[in-house]
Amino acid sequence: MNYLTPPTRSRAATRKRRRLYAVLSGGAMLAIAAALVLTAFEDSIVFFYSPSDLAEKQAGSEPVKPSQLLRIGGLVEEGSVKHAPDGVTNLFTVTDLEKTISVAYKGILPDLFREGQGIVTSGNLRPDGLFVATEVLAKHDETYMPPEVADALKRAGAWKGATDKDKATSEKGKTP
Amino acid sequence: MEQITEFLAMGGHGAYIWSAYGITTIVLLAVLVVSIRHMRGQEYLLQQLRAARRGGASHQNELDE
Amino acid sequence: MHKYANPNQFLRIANPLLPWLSGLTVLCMGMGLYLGLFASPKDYQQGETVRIMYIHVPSAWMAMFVYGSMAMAGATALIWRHPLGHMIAKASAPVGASFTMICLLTGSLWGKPMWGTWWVWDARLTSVLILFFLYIGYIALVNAFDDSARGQRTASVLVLVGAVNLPIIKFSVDWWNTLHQPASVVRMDGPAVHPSMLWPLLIMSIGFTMFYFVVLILRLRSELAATKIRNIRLGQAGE
Repeated sequence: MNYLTPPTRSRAATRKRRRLYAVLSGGAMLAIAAALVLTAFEDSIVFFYSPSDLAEKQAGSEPVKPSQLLRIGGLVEEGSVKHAPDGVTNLFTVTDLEKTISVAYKGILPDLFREGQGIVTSGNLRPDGLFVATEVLAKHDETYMPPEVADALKRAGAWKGATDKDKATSEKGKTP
Repeated sequence: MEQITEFLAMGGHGAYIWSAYGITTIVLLAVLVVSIRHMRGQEYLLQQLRAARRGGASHQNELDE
Repeated sequence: MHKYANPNQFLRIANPLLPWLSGLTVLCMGMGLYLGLFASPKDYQQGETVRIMYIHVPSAWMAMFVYGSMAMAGATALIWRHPLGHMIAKASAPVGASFTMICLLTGSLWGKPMWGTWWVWDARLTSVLILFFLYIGYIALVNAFDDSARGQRTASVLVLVGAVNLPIIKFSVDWWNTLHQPASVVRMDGPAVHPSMLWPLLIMSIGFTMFYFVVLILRLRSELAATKIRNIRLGQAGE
C-alpha cells in the first residue's frame, strides 16, 4: 500500500474498515436472526420425541390427538420384543431409560432392529397409550469398530451399560 | 472366483456400496475433465488473441468468431 | 500478504505445486480405496456397508470446507477488494456443489440399507440439502450479471449470508433430535471410530482435499485466462 499517497491511503483505509465493520455486524445480525428463527421453530425441526418429551407434551396444554402423525425415538427395551398372536404384528417397548411407550408395528423391521438398538418410529398414539407405528427406522450410534473389538469389549465387561445411558441422554438432545 | 463374487456381494449390500463408489468416481472424474477442458480452451483462446494482436489487426475478425 | 492476492502472483506459486498435488491426490485416493475396500474390517453393527463411510464422510467434510473457503475468500474480496478472492469463490463453487451432491447421494445409499429409508427431513439432512441449494444459487447468481464484477460481488454476499448454515449443519445432530447419528470423529471425547477404520477415512479425506486444490488451481487458471480474454476484447472494442 506504500505506493499510495497519504491522503488517498487514509481514505482507502477508512473505506476498507467500514466494509469490514459492515460485514462483521451483518454477520452478527444474521447469526442472531438465525438463532431466533431456529429457537422459534424448534418443535418442527425436532425429528422425533423421546418418551419423556411425549409425556411432557401430553401433560401440557396441547396434548397429541390420536389422528396426529408423530415420531417417537429411543431404544428398544431389552426383552420387550414380542409377536402378537396374529403373527405379523411386532410388539415392543421404546424407552429413553426414564419413560417408556409400547409400540405395535405391522411390517418389515430394518436389519439393524434389535433389542437395545436406537429406533425412530412414526405413527399414531392411541388414547389407550399404545403407539401404532406405520414406519420403523433404525438409528445407529456414532461408534464404529470391528466385530472382534466389540466382542472383546463385551467379554471385558466394558460394553453398553454406561454407553446405553449416554445414548439415551444424547437422544434426548442433551450432550454431556 | 468365489472370493471375487463374495467380495462384490459385500455381505448382501453390494449394490448400495458399489453404486456409492461408482457415483463418487463419475462425479469427481467429470469435475476434473470439465475443468481441464475449460482451462485448455481458455488458455488456447488467450494465446490466439495475443498472437493476433501481435500479428496486427488483419486476422482479428476470424478469431473473434 | 497483499502481494499474493494478485492472481498472477498466486498462480506463479501454485502452478509448480500442481504436479505434486496431483501425485498426492492419486496416492491418497488409491491408498484410501485400497484400505477402505480391502484392508479395513467390517463394522460390528453395519457389516460391510460401513465402507460407504470412506467416501460419504470425506465428501461431507469437503462440502463444508469448500463452502467455508468460499466464504473467507468472498469476505476478503468484499472488504479488501482483492480480485483473487472472488476468483477463488467462483472457481470453488462447482467443486463444492459436486462434493455436496456426492455426500447426499452416498448418504442416501447408506441410509436405505441401514436406517431403512432413502431420505428423511431431519435437521442434518435438510441443512445439507440447503447447502447444496446455496451452491447452486451462487453458481446461478455469479453468472447472471452482464457486469462480471457486480455478479461476483452479489454472489459473494450470498455465500456470506449462507455461511450461517455451516454451524447449523455441524451442530444439528446435537441441538435437535435427528435420525442421523452425532459426530463420530470431530467430537469432544475424541473419535468414536476404531483406528483400523479411522486411518482409511483420514487418508481418503486428505485425498479429497488435495483433489479440491488441484481442481481449484485448474479453474483459477481458467478464470484468469477468461479475465485476460475479456480485457483484450474490451480493449479491441474501444479501439
